[in-house]
Amino acid sequence: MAGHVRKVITPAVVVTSALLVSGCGDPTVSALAPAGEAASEIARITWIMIAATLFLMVVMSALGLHAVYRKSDGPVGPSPLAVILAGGVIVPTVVLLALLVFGVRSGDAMLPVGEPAVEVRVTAHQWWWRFEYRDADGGSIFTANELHLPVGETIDIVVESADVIHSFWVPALGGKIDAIPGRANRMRLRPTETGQFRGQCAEFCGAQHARMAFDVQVHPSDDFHDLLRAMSGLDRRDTGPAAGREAFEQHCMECHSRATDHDFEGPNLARLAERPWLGAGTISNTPENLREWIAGHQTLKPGNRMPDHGALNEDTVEALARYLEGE
Amino acid sequence: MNDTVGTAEDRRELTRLFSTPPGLGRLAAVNHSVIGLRFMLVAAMFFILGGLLAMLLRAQLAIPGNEFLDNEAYSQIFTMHGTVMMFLFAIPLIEGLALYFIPKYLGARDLSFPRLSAFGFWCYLFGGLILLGSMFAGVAPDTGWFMYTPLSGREFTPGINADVWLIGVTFVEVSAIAFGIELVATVLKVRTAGMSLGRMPLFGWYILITALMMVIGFPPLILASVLLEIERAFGWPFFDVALGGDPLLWQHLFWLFGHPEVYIIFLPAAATVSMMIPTFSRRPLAGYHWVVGAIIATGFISFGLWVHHMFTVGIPHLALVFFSAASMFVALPTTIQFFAWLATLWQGRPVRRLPMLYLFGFLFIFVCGGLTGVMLALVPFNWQAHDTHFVVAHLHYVLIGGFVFPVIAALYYWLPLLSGREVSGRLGQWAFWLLFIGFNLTFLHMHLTGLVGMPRRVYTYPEGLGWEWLNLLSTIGGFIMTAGFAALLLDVLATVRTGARSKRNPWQGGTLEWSLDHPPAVYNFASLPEVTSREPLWEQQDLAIDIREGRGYLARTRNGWQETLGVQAISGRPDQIILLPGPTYIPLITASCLLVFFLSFLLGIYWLSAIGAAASLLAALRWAWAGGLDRDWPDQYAGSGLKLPLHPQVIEAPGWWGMLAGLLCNGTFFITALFGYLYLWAVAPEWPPESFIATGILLPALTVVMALLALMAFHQAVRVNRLGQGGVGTVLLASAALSAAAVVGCALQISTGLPEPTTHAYAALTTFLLGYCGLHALIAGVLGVYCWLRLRAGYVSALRSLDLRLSRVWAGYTAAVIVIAVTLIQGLPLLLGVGS
Repeated sequence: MAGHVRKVITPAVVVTSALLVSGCGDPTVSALAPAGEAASEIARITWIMIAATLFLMVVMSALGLHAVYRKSDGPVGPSPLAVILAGGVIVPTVVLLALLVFGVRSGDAMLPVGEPAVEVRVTAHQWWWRFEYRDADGGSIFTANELHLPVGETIDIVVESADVIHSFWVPALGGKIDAIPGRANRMRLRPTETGQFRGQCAEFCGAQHARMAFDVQVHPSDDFHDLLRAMSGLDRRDTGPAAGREAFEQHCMECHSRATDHDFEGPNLARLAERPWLGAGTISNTPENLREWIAGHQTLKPGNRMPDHGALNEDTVEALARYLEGE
Repeated sequence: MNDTVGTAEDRRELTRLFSTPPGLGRLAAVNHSVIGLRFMLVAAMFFILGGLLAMLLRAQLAIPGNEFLDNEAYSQIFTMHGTVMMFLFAIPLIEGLALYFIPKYLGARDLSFPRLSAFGFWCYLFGGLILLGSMFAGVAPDTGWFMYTPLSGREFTPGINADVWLIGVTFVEVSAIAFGIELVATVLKVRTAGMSLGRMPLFGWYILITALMMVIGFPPLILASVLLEIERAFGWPFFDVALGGDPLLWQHLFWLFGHPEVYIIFLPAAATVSMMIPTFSRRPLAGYHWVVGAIIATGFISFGLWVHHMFTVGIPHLALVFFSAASMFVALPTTIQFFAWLATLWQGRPVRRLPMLYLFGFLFIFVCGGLTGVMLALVPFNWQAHDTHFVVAHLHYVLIGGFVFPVIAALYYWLPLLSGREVSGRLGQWAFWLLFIGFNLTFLHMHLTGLVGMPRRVYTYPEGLGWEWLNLLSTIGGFIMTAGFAALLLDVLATVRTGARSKRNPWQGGTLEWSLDHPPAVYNFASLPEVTSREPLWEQQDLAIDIREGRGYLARTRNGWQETLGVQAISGRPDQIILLPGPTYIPLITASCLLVFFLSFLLGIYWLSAIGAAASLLAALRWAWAGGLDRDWPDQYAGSGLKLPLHPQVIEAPGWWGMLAGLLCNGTFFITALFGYLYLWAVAPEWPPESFIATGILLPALTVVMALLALMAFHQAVRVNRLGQGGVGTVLLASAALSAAAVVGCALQISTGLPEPTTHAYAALTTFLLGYCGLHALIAGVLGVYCWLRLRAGYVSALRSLDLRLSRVWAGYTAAVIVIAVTLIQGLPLLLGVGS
């Protein structure tokens, strides 16, 4: 057996060290590095259950190994009936009941009960996210692929779909909720830390499911409300060079708007310059990438719903990029 | 009594009777050993294919931003990996396993309906080839093996890809249904003398419950597939939310099948464990009755937890609690089995042989998969882990640990019996360690990959999110596991080709299959034993020799009949001699007609499809015609002084049980459709639309009356026939005419009372239900004419009444569905005060 044991231990060491290196994952995207109330509660449950799982694994493997590799030849252990009753019925019933009660209570605590401080309406599209806030006057503010939230306040995310089923998920803040055509699902979040996080679609939704992420920024409460005021009524249609504006009107305006109170078919581009990524997390938003995206987004994100602009000449691309950068 | 002992001459005659013809005649094979092996071999081929697909997936995910596969290729490959492994590997493999071994465990010469299993094989092969072919044509399904609507609908998947899945998988499911019916009837009726249910090896119990679960579990999937295909082909909006449908209806139907499916796969694997552990412990399994109870409980509970695949769709938390509890407590039957195995090992003297090594691998991996399953049953945890790589890890622990490892153990266990060769073990141990280490290196830390934020089914991921090493490690592990499977394949091939001759019963097992020749004779048992215990080879001295030397039942041959015993379901007392069919092309012909139906539907040639459907029905009737007896026979000697009737002259013939199992399956299909109707009524807004309520009570009432009169006519035919009076034929023709009137009634309700089915889900589903009723009435009418023809040809008498009684049951079922459907369609709006 010694040889066998070594064969098991060596890879086990490798795996364990890999786990340690990875730690709890990247804090922007890991469920094990929680920055919200629901996520913290779930992470706590997760660690408890992982510990229990490991313990039970060891116990049951040890029982199995003992039964096969024991020294004595004759019958050992309690009577079969006792083994089956205790191990197969009583112990698991107690453990499962406890776990169930625990799970129900903790799930109940996460439900959206009462009025939230902030409500954000989310519409999932193939393959991007539309967010809609209310400003102080009850008017709408539209953004795309960027979600801003205040720390410490209760937030309801109301999720709908424009086409197929998607799922809204910010691992660092909480669980996920599906976006289903014909339904408006509600999920309660309460960020406990400020910072930048990554959200993404969790339900397979077709060709570019892999590139359907969004940027989440959790701000101090005052900053958030300032930002909301700044976004309200933001209109950048007339900023930027005229050549760019004309090209935009010719090629883009049917689906995109540069004003936050416009809800068009494609992502709202009023605040494109402020976003960290392009194409719902496809590439980071740098000047070169922006030009590459405008000219070749079908290469960068094949199958996306924007018509191919491969025919745009370099000058037009440059003009559009400058216009979108707001220079 | 000496004249009942079989001779060498009898064994030669048995060999001749049960053999499959050579050359092209192989296509006519119906012998369960041949069909079982074919199932297992084709399933193994598909396993290799599915494994290669998995390696492509792992290669793509090895590094972030990889350009090895594009998104379209990745979507097709991950969809096909899941589809192949579930539908073309796991299910067919357990089918092959059960088809091959059940008669050998139960002391029978073949299954209850050998032609049905041959038919199932062809359906499996044809459906599998449709799916396989689509891959080479580059139009493989690409919307996931779960096919969620509306992504799989025509708007978002306009190509043929989704149709390939719906039609290919449904074709394969025909074989699963055939298997379910076959095995329910076989386990209940086709056993050897003295094998009461309480003496039946656990293998029989596991397969009986699995078969019942398939009979009930597959109809929801078939219904969902049929509805979605109709929506795609003809625009009936069952799942379209804009026209009164609901995409969640698909999810409910899919997982109503999909979760029991996991236990349909696990139970037969656990069956092999429950057979191996006693053999290697040298004592019977501890807690036989506990395990039987656990198997039955698994069957029940597994139908009550499908919603745990839907914890994030927005169902109220209170409702989720029920499914959360069911998902946790389904673990109980499994822990009972685990501790029964453990107690057996403790009580016995375990022998450490190669299969035991794989059983250890099973134990370790499956326990881990079970525990993570309990974790996922916890609703808040599920909200985080759902649709991440945590679930990918979990499901592979369950399916590879709970299915593949025990099946490999079983392969080594039964290889001496199957091939007549000894298992040597060296390479098999290497294979085990490669598989075990490779598996854990692929999937153990994949739990973490999910928890640190990586969703499933992504073809690429950005760097810098902490997922790189986790994925690279999984890819390396995957290739190690592949090397393990290659070593396993080599070892098995080497054993079969060049292994030393195995001695009889090398592991000293106690169940009947080990009494057979290695490899078994085509007829299995030269004579059928009288068993007095669950491990007859341990308890009954010289039983194996008695069986071989013809000192048992049905040892002599006569009239060129292939005979086996039929027993009373519970007591195991023999009550009939079952006459088995010889090789025939009719299963292949029927399956080919179905192929025409499915393939032309797939290609949109609907007129040809209709011809295929009609041809299938005709082929099925021709098939049925070949059975039965054209005169009354006296009871026949079965050995040991016992005289038994032939099965066509018995009330509880296997066909009777087959019909009941078939109607159980059909009824589940119907009830699931009603569930869909009521579900949409409850959930969808403005359902049904006011203007759509069908009005007029006369036509529905007439239809119901016609169906009931048709049933009464069938009943009268059975009664008159039993009393030996004349006029049966006239009554049969009357019943056919009344059934035809019911068909017309259904058709008129559709054409006059309902708007176009394309306008609203209410119209579509109502049309579907009435169409279902009409189809059943049509078949009842055809059966009336068929019975009349059988009567004229002399196949029906007071003793030989099976044709009539089966038709009466069908007519009864038809009347029931018509009454229920019409009452619901007409009554519910009245009851709720909707409509005019």
